[in-house]
Amino acid sequence: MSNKRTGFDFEEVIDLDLVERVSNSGKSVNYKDLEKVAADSGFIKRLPQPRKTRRKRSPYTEQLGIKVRPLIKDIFQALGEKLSVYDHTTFELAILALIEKENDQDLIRKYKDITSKT
Amino acid sequence: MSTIVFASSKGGAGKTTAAIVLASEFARQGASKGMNITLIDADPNQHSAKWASKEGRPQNIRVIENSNEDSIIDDIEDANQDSAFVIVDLEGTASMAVASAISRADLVIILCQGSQDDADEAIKTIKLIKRQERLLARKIAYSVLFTRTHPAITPRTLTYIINEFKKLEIEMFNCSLIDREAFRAIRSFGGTIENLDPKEVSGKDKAIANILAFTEEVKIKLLSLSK
Repeated sequence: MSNKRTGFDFEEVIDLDLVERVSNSGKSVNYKDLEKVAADSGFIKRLPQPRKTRRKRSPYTEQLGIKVRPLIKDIFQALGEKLSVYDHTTFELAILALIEKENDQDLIRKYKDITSKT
Repeated sequence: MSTIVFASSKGGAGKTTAAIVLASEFARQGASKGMNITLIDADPNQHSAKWASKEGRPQNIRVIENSNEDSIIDDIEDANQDSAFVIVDLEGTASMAVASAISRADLVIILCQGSQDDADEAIKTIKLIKRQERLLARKIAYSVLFTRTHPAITPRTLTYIINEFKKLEIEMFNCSLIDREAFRAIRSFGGTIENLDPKEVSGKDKAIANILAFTEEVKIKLLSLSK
């Protein structure tokens, strides 16, 4: 006879075999939908996200400083305002108009070659 | 195969401890049946992985380290191929990793201490589960497990939270994970509570009884899912 009472076999009241089950969690879900539901609940992406594409660099990089007669600048800027473009575009459009007027095919080709690349 | 996800959008709620003790107990009970358990550590702090790297981890526990919001669904699916149970330990933040893991869960265990902040975060996780249920058109079982509780005293705040949760018909475990030195000790020594030296750690038997009660409740919940 033991002076110790037999303990209750509490462990494995439920056989682990019975608990192992075929998961019903495999249903695929659109990740974007999941992301939206998560964000709506305050659960957001924490990993650093790849940077969005950089802002396109301006092709207008060459500086050109010219002096003009008084008030010509005003006319130039008024023209740009009328066309709703910046000064550099006004200047290029003026050049294009001029070389087209002169019908200089070589310069027209060169101009189109430069502007189509950028 | 069953996937059990430990979630809490608040840190320090006891996710890693609960995940480790459940994985260890499943491993012990399933060893003679040839069952493998996978423990996925999706917390950047890698506390589960650190525990696993120490001596004494049951041989039938495999650990997937460094899981994150980009890889967690694949990690769970991969683990489900050869594991009877997949246990996911998540980071204590409201992250996309939590949402992804829940989308693959059979049972979500939401850890909560007896504080208003913890209860608020638990509610937040439950709301996410409810929304995911609608999206996935399936029930996602969940249950709140109170952690770091006192063995003898139930503070008023905790009583209030429990009563409020009952009113809201929130599923809760009957047992709680009691604040015991043995639970902290396995994180320092490694291995399981059974293997702790009683000279080093007091209350080992009570901690084991606590784990058994918790494990049985988890099993009951999983069993009810398959019915």
